Amino acid sequence: MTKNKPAKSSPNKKDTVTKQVCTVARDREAVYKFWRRFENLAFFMTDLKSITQTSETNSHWIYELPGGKTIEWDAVITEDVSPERIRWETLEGSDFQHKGTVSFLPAMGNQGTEVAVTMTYRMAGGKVGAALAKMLGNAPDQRIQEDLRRFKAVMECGELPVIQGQPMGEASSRRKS
Amino acid sequence: MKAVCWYGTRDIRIKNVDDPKILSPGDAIVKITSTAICGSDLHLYDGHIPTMKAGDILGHEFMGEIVETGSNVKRLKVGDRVVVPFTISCGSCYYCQHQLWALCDNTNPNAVMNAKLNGFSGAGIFGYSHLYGGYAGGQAEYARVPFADHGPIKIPKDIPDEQVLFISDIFPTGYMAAENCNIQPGQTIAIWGCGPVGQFAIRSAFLLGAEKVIAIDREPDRRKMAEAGGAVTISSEDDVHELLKEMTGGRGPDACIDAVGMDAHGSAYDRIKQSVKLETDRPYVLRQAIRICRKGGVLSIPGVYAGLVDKIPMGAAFAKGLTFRMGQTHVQRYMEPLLKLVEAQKINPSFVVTHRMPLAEASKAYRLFHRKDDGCIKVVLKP
Repeated sequence: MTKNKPAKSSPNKKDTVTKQVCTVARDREAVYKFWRRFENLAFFMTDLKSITQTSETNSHWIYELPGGKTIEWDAVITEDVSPERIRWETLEGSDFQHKGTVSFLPAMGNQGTEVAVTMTYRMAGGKVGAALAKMLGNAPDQRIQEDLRRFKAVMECGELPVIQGQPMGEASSRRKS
Repeated sequence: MKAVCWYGTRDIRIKNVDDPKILSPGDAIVKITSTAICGSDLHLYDGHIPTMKAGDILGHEFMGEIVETGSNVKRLKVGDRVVVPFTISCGSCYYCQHQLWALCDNTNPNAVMNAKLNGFSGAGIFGYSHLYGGYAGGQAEYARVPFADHGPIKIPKDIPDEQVLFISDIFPTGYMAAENCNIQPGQTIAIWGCGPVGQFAIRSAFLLGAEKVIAIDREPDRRKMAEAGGAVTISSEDDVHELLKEMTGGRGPDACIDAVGMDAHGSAYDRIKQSVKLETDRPYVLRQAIRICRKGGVLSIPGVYAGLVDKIPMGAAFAKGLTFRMGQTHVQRYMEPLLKLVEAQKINPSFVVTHRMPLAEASKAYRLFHRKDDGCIKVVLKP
């Protein structure tokens, strides 16, 4: 269920659409509620530095790029149907222009909620665009897939699986004879 | 602390590393009292499992005492004596809720990487490559146990380590392999591989009602241990197919257990293909078992396969209507009932231990186990 192609609805050839889906073993009211409080997203989105809710519908996002530089954008909610879906798009002047939809559907067989994220984005030009492209790599799908997986873990277990900070033998170690 | 670290093919070193810390609220730290080398560790030792990194701490069969717990840990407390399952499971996802603990959705931090290979990722595993999460293992003085409320089982003080240590992996693995055979009274089970998992599969098959167990291995010491467990044995260097046919009245075994996995000996074809990476696994046992299994029988596979095999006689499997059961063990499902069997003295799992060595001699222990020198079947390391 992965697409990565120019948006049909847009005349701009540089738009990319990506869709990722996962199932979360929680009811959709809980899943919707958690997502709707954007501050919560910082728990699971990789490299997200901060999200500040500036009004009921607007939020300010700061993302950290490799090397420590940051990019920022303002997002506005354009549709909010509890507990079914949230649509948003970025405001003029954002470093990373995109629009997105997250939808929450009951999964069959009482398996919880199917969460689907669709994002349409456009790479900015110049240095920011280049850095962004580097961050997203050639596989923005994978980035979103990774974040969704982390979202699922936070929702289902209240924590993420981590190994950063665990011990290991130093890599440069010389072989003893 | 001291830890057993992997540095490459047949390059195991004991290193001084940092003590593990609590990294997540569900973590616990265990001070290890006993730890073992698993047959599946030899796949790492031989360099057959991808995504190992120099310095990774090995080991997934360990037990000890809880010395620290994270803020979310409710079920365990400092001072508890525990055996830790090799599978790391969250306890909350669909799979954990359905007792399929080894298929946990949430505990592999590298699930996306694993899914690229396998379609979907299973649980994280201690000390078993970054494909399975990159978790530091338990061949060390201490280990961090994530999702600790959903793994370790508490053990009464009066049972010696060696009787309960193997509840971490090989006992449930052998038991699940036998359970997967759906054994009915009067049935004959054939088991390839008399290593530790095969030994537990033999004894579990009898516990589950098998009438006859035929065990196959080329090592006389291992066959002797299998016979002590009640099995009749065949050397894998003899004509296994003909002998099994003869010993089952021409019907073939009702179920076959492949407790060998990807590194089976016996076929030059596979050894060459594996060495030039045309094939990752050597499925010699699998082919033999498919051919000899009776019509409508079960093939149960606890032996580890990691990648691609070829020349699998699918036509024979289809023609005879075989059932295939396999996978990593859902250890948490079996810990409680198997501990009860030990407490009731229905089995004493320490029979399998042939060598006891200090942790500091792990490098020597791996070599010994790998070469099956000195009748080595199972090594327990003491930190």
